[in-house]
Amino acid sequence: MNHRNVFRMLLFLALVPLAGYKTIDGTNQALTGPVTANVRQWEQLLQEATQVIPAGSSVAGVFGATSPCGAAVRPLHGVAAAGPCDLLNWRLTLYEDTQTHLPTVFTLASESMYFVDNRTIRTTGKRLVTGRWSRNQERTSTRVSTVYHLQGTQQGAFLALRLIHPALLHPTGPDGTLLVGTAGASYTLSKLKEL
Amino acid sequence: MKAILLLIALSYCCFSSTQSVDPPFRPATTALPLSVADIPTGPTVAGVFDGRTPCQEIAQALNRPVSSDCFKLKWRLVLYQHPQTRTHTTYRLEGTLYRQRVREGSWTQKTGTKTDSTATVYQLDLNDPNQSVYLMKGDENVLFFLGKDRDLLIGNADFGYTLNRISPKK
Repeated sequence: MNHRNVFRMLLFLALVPLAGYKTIDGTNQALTGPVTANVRQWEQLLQEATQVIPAGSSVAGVFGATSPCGAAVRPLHGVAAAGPCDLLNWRLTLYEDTQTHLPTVFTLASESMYFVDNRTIRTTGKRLVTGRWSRNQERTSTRVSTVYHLQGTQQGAFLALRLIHPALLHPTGPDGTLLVGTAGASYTLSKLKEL
Repeated sequence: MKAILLLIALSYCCFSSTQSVDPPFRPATTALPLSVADIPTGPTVAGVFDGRTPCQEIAQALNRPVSSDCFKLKWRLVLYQHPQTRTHTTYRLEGTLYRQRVREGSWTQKTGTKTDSTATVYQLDLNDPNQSVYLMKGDENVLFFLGKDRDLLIGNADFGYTLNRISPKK
């Protein structure tokens, strides 16, 4: 191997970590308080979100959650199936037609995170997901439920959310059952008081 | 040339140490609220549910004192059943609010919440006629806390009032 090739190889090795680092938020957060207070910086994403809202639409509800990063919810969030992700931060805004109250679009400000250790969590990506949503009535073995279907603009970005209460949504899996969280995090989305 | 190579090698070492701040993916290592080893099993166990919820509102509903900076509570609920008939027998409720004394008593099934008259509700007897813990059954694996007025408690962006089945799997 001549000197030029050695130089190229070393330069490549030196730049690879830099390239990977750029894609990451880069902040470690100590888990000493609510994750929302420490990590979230939604302003920029929410500003971008306003550009996709059709005229004549108004907010039907804003829902938030910090959930596990299970396989069923990754496609909607645009998180790779095998990517490093332990928790997802959701801020879902549903819009409806102001006159008819029919569903129009949704925006989802999403943040993926993983645990560096027991006390530190790290953001691996923030993204804005947009798409259309609909309200549906679905029958399970025991009852009829209202289910919201979220269809993102990206291929495969779909998720069904069961309406548990006017202020609570819960994602369902392909079989229609509620997604089961962990001891540390649940999938339930709660309507946020502040808009 | 050697000096250049040495410089690059040193740079690489520095960048590598930066990268080490961002270790490769590994599963979540957050400690469970309670030890996995403590999870009861057997035919008398109808379900073990764990969860983390916001603190202030539910502590107030259950008349439990908490500090003003309390923002989350850890829970584990074990529901027991008769091994043959599967009728409800007793429960065991432990977690942050009941560090000093685990709550145990009987549990029964009721119907109806404030907004859903057909919902299945579990009532946990707290040995006080004026007080019970109410949980709505979302399905076999997910339970939701109800407040005093039997309405569902609404969480925040960090935690919901949800308990998730961890055992046995259904």
